[in-house]
Amino acid sequence: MKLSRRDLLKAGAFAGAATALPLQRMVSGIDAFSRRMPASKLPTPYSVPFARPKSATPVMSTANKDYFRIDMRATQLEILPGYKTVTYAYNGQVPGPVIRVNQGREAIVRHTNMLPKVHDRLAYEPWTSVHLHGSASLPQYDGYASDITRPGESKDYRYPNFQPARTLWYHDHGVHHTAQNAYQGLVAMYIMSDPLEQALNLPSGEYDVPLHIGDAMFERDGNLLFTLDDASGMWGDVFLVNGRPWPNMQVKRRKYRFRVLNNCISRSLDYRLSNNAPFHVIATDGGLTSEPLEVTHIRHAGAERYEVVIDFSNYTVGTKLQLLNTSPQNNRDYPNMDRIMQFEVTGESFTTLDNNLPPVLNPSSPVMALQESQAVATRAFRFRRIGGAWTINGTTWADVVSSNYQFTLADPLKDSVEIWSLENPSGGWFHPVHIHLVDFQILDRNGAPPQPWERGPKDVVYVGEGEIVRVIMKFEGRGRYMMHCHNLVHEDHDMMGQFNVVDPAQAGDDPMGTLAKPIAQMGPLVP
Amino acid sequence: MTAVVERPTHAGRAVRSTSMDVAIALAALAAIAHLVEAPYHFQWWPASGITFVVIGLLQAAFALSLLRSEPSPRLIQVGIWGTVGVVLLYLVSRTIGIPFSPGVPVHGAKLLPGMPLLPDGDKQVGPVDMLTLVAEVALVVVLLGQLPRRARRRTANGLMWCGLSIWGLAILGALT
Repeated sequence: MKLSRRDLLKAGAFAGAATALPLQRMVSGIDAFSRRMPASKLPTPYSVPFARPKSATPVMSTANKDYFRIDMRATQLEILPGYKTVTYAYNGQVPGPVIRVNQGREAIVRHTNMLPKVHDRLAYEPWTSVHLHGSASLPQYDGYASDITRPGESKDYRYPNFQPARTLWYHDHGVHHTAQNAYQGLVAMYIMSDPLEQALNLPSGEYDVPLHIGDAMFERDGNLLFTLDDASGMWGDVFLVNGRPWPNMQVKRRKYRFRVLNNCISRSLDYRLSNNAPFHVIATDGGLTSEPLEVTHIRHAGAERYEVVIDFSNYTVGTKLQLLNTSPQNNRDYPNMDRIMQFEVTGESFTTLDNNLPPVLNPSSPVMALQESQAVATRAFRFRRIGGAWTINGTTWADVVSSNYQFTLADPLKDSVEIWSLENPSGGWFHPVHIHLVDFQILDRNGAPPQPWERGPKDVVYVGEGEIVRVIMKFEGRGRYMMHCHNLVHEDHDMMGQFNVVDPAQAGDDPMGTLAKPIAQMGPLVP
Repeated sequence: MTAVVERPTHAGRAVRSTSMDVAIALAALAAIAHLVEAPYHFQWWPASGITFVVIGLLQAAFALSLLRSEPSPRLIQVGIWGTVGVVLLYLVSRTIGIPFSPGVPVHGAKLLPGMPLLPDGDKQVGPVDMLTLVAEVALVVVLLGQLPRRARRRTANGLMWCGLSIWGLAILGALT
């Protein structure tokens, strides 16, 4: 090679230019963490008081319907003491307002996207799609990922509320931006009650407590820091419980019902009380268990809900108990991510009317009565990363889109019972798998019985490293519904597909059949 | 002056220069990287996947032609400017974005200019990207050294202006 110094300089001008910009982009990805707020500026765990999300008030109720209006807006909130954080909030709250409904009353919710046209830091258009997680809604009201509501648009969602009492949650499901939207605050609970649950006299009112457990990372200016970690997940260094960092909750010397939702974007939890005292699981994703399940810890993936009763009656006033996290494998850990929140026992008086934990809860759940012998089909779904893309049986949501939303991973018959085998062959990550529309029963995990806390109706299951989890379900309803990994970064990077519940007598509704409209074209919410 | 790409052995057989061996290795590395990445890009956008396959095959063919016989200055020029084109295409994809890449096909929604389909997905620069890019840039420099003096000077000038243009566009904010 005969290059003169001059030739080398000229070629160097090209070489430098060609590599500098990509190098800068690569380094800035790594460098995102350098913008992270130092741990010394984060609040000391348990120094911030606990808060509960407020409830939504219906704009109107009729004999059998309740109407709600929820606006999504960019809202500045104080999450870390002394800092303002721009969030995306339902009705100005993070987490959003709790919608409370009774079984048998339809809810109509007008969701309006008043978010900015473009996210000022992440440079994406924050289109949304609202999924009521846990509801057997019609396909067009299920938050189908591609059924988006763009900024300046609105859509009325109809929720049937015919299922048993349960803790649901509504959250963003907009195609490719679910993780960012949910991370910034578009999550909230939706609590449905029924006569069976009400008759049990479980802790209620102030003793029935929603617990959103999320994680976040902050920039030095207090704004949320969003990183993708090579599309493996978003891992925060602060636990937020109902939007408060590592809060301290004052509790009375009695039983409390906690509705625990892991709304972390990617993180899974394994939590226990600091004294390892047992507590009782009374409900899972799809509602009450047959009886209280005594546990000392729960492995809890994103989107799962566990309702637990903790009895503080045996503790002396002033006792402090912490809810601690033993992080399951393949999470990214930071200091203080081994603690979630604190309970401080007080001597305040309380009512004993609903201080109850009955020995029998719901012994006749149809899904928990399903038997393997009833299954007419068994299907296998492999959740794998292939060439950078997260896939289900080698396919992604892009296959659904490119087929004009016709491509399906399965076509079960309406009212049929099937067993689905959910397989994670990797040792490098776990997948919380969510199947829309249905409640399912976990049959086994790698051939072993489900974990003690999982023995109730579910709609998300933790499919851990190297695990094969078999679930059984009955397909009531009809039409196309999504199934996906609920690590929202995996979901956005396309680990999502759909199945079609086929009714030979009638076609299912089109999930893209009732689209959002510009706000000005929306008629009155209440007819 | 012609480039020295082969040197005689004691037995009188011609062997390739070390520089040419390096060029073959670099071209092959780039070809393999493009072919391996093609299926992933095909999933995102078939045109992108096809582009990766075509680039990979061309780079493989170029490596093969260097392996088989002494390349002509014309072939070396094709190798240089073809590789520069691939590098420029990559630069555009990682800065302003491919302008004619598809929007998300949801009722009328289109990506805003420069907005990635997946969050940061098509603008991320991973280690494999960087390794391939460095290989291609190094290939350009090695090939430049194989050209006759006059052609080398002209080509070096072209590369310089190409580089200065990139720097200029970056400074003006056109490549961000």
